[in-house]
Amino acid sequence: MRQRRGHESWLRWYPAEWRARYGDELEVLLEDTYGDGPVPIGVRLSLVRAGSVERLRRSGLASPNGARGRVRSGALIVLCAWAVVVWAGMVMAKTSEHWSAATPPGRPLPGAGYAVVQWAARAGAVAVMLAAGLSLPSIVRGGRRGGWERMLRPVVRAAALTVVTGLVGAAVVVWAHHLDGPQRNGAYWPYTVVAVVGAVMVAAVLGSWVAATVAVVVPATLPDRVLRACGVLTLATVAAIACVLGGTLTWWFGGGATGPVPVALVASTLLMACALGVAAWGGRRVLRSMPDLAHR
Amino acid sequence: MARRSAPAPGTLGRPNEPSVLILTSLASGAKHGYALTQDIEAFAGVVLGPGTLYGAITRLEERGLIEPAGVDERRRPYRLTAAGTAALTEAVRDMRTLADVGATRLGLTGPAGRLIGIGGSRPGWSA
Repeated sequence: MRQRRGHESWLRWYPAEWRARYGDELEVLLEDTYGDGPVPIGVRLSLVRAGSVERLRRSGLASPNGARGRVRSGALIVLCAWAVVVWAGMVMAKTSEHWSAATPPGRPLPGAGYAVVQWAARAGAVAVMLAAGLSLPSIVRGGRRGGWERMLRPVVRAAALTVVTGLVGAAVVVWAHHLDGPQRNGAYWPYTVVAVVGAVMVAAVLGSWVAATVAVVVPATLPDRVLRACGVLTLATVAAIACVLGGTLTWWFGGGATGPVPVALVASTLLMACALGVAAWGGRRVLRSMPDLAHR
Repeated sequence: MARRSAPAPGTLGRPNEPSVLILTSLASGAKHGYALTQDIEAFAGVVLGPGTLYGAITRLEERGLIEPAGVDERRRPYRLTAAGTAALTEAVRDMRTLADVGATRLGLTGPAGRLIGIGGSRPGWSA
């Protein structure tokens, strides 16, 4: 019998259940093909891609079967994009604090752009909450049929992360009250470091709730009328994301951001643009599958 | 603008798609991963990477087109199922139809409908 040569490290990109079924034989294939030599970089990248695709497939976001699966996966893809926009929007809100006081009078565009961002954010949040509310009874039914155990773990993880982040956030707010304006805005490095850590924790909270939502929605059987309503709300969310990005650009280039442009603003706008691309992909999947759903 | 449509459920994709290549390879008998890559490279000139190969094997097994044929040490050979044989037969017929139309339009068919002017040196792709 051959000795294992550490090729199993390349299998960590695959989900655990996939590794349990195919991991051993894929590892042997790597041993048969490359022996003691290193695995070429192209093959490593191929394994990373294939493993990530497998994770995506098992999450229910990629290659779904049937109109129902496509609408559901499209909606979840848009939810992922929405979470990114929420995070980028929080960064944008922080970097645009007190912008109206710093903007010379007689410039209507920044105000209009900012108002569009705020209204679109509210509309998107309402659409996401409505979709969650509509899906909840089906999720509860799925849980009663024996799915609680599978659902509980990601939800508890997300809730625990939320509590920890909330406590850290509260401590930071108390600390911030003992600092002056310049210290809170980059002049005091310990506070800047904590603020960055806080932003990462908020991103982790959003990500964990999206993961929990995917984990509870994918196994649930949603009725067609709920899927149709969620499909419409998904398209509304895509429109809201487009408006948030459009409003941000209008605010920015209309003169809302004065002085040197903060790196955080550039990064958050780029994130919003990427999120819009992902949302458009998910929205397209929903839009193309909705007619099939309507004819059922 | 023309767009590529996804293969219908129960059907396979283009002739150079990994699933078609794997089924074609298994048509001559059960094989494990390494034997599959070697055979496919020999008859189609296509080198399937490990990630691509096992992605396709996963899909084919999920669709019931192939199944494990026991375990040879840590290697697991696969073989065609009846559904896999039927899917490959349909794919080969489709490819044959396409090849016939192409050959006719290019004036490559000789007496008795045999292809002319093509080397046919690549095993597995001769007329």
